[in-house]
Amino acid sequence: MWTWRLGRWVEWALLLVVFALVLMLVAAVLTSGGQGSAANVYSGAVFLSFLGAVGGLLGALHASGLLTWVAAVSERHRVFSIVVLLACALLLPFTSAGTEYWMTVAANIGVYAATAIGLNIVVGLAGLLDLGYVAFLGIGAFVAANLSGAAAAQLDISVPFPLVMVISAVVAGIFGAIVGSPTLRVRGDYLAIVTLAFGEIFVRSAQNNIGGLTGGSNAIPGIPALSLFGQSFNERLDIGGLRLAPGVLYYVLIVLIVAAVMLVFANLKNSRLGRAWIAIREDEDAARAMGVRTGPIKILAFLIGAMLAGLAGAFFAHKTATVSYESFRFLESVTLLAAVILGGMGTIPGAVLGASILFVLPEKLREFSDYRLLLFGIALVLIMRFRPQGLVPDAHRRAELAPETVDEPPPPPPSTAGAGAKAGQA
Amino acid sequence: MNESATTVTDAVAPQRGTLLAASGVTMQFGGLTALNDVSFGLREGEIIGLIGPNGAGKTTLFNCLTGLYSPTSGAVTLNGSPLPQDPARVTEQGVARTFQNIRLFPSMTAEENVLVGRHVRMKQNPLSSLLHGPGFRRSEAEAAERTAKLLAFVGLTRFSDELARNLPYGDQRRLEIARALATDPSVLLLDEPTAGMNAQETEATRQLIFAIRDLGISVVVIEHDTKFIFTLCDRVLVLVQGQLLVEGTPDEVRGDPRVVEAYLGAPPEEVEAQVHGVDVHGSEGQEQG
Repeated sequence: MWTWRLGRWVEWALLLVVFALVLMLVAAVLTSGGQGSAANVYSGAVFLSFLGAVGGLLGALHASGLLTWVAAVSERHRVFSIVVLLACALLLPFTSAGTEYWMTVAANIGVYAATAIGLNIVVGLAGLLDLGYVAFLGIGAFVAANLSGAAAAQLDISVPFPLVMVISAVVAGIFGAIVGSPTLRVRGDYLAIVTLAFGEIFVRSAQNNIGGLTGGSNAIPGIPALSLFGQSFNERLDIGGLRLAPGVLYYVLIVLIVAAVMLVFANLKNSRLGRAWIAIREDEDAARAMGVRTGPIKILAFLIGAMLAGLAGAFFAHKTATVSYESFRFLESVTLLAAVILGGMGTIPGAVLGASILFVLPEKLREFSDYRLLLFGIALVLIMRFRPQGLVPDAHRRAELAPETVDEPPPPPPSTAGAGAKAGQA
Repeated sequence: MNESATTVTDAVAPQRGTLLAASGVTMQFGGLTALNDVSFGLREGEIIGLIGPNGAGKTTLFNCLTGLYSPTSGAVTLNGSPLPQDPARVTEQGVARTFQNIRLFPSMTAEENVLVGRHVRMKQNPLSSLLHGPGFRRSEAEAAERTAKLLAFVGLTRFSDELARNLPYGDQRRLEIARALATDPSVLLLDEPTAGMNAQETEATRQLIFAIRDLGISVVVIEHDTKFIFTLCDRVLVLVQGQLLVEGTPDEVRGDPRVVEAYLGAPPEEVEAQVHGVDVHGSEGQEQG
């Protein structure tokens, strides 16, 4: 393991270079092979080869210990790294990925990344398997669709988007708590079945246009695009001499939303509440014996996770302009869950990476049409076989799945409890 | 909350008398009576030992005392008021426990395990923990300080950042005790704290329990090692087939023939004979003949 420590400025410069490289790599991966179409039949194949090469490169870097070292450096300069990463994410439109198509793909990835981080609270931290989670994304989207779409226009109501986001999140959160309450008495497999059933209830209700709120199979079309200071988010953006592709503003907005969701996740994880969630995941009975009121704490996990998904849903509704129940079916729930597990449970980069891979692949493999789900499934099986802890595992979980001998502490010296006790009395 | 810097654990305000009391506790599972009319009281600053053969109902009694089970009949009181039927609330009111088969949070570090114990005594409002505001930082710093003290108290400072699952067996038991102490209990229930320990570790645990008593915490210990119990406890309860057979000082209990018979399942001569490989009945027969 490398343990170099360089000067502060040197490390900062190094991190800048690394993150700039990451930005270029992301842009290159995203656009590799180009946009799949009838004229571009090899785009999927090119993309896969490119992804394989990048994966191999990263694997080699990881094996050499370089990645671990860079991770340690960025951990030492946490705030700096976060600021630079955020800046890099916002600079993506200035790379080769800055076209309308790739911005839309990136914005969709953002939606699912935010949702996956929300799911990560429920599954990764609290250990509650939720198979119907995409319903909360759907609830957020439908609430936003009703607040901003034709229904509201008829009533001559115009709700500003920030308020729409808050209302969508709150409504999704309430549903999260409602789903959470009956699941308090069930664990494991039974919990998964209850959440699966809830997901189905949502899809069927939306399909049947329940209360006239979901548009049924006609969906809710015509949700107006967002605009800020008269600049529509769908239009080309001109800043001085710079011309940015349409959809760039949506991308910027989702980057900010994902950043906010990450902040919520990271801060809650390192709090009394986050520790209580993890304790419940580890051993629910022991957590109760330690004074953790597991009922309310679990409901909070469902509530906060659902709120984050609802937030993403409000964005999703405005971005796609049409909200249909078809976007929130069981397959989407499973894909989200796969994103969390694939990326690494309980970590932010894991959820983002997992969501990116899982939602870029189908986009990229369009011309494989019938085979793309097969390829997708094979990829999942392979990753789970060779990297069960996920691509970016939690430090704790990594240790959990590592061979037993690796983390074995040195044999304990003769007990010091007696001495400790004396110190305690003093 | 106000925490004195010198004490490791805040005991409940001094009040002579009975802290935790069971009166006529009976626990039935279907047709099986696990506990039958058990009554006892734990006084302040006292160490009580609970012994009995396997299946005597010792752990069941613990589960009744911590709100995990609600007794079929009879009542458990804490400071004179009925015990809540919820383990989390019982812990809030000052009864902490450890488990017979260690139940730490295996993928959390030793420090995080103890921090979970602080859960009931920490106050963080949701907004502050979302934004990591000043109130949040203060409460985290307090908890971290207390956790460090508790880890030092049980002698595990060096394992602070180690995952609980990687700790040596005896240290896992000690960590469980630290985690229980983090809840600021007035009563600590230890379920076989020395199981699987060697003589040296057992002795260290005995000293630790004395130190805990000296902090003003009353302790109930389940243990099979009678030597350990008799040298540790102020009073010993003997539970046999769900019934409280004998209650008294270690000396009284040790000399009680009923205990020896019930606990060992045979008269002492016979057991001794078995141990030394002598055929008691055979020799008796010879004398008669």
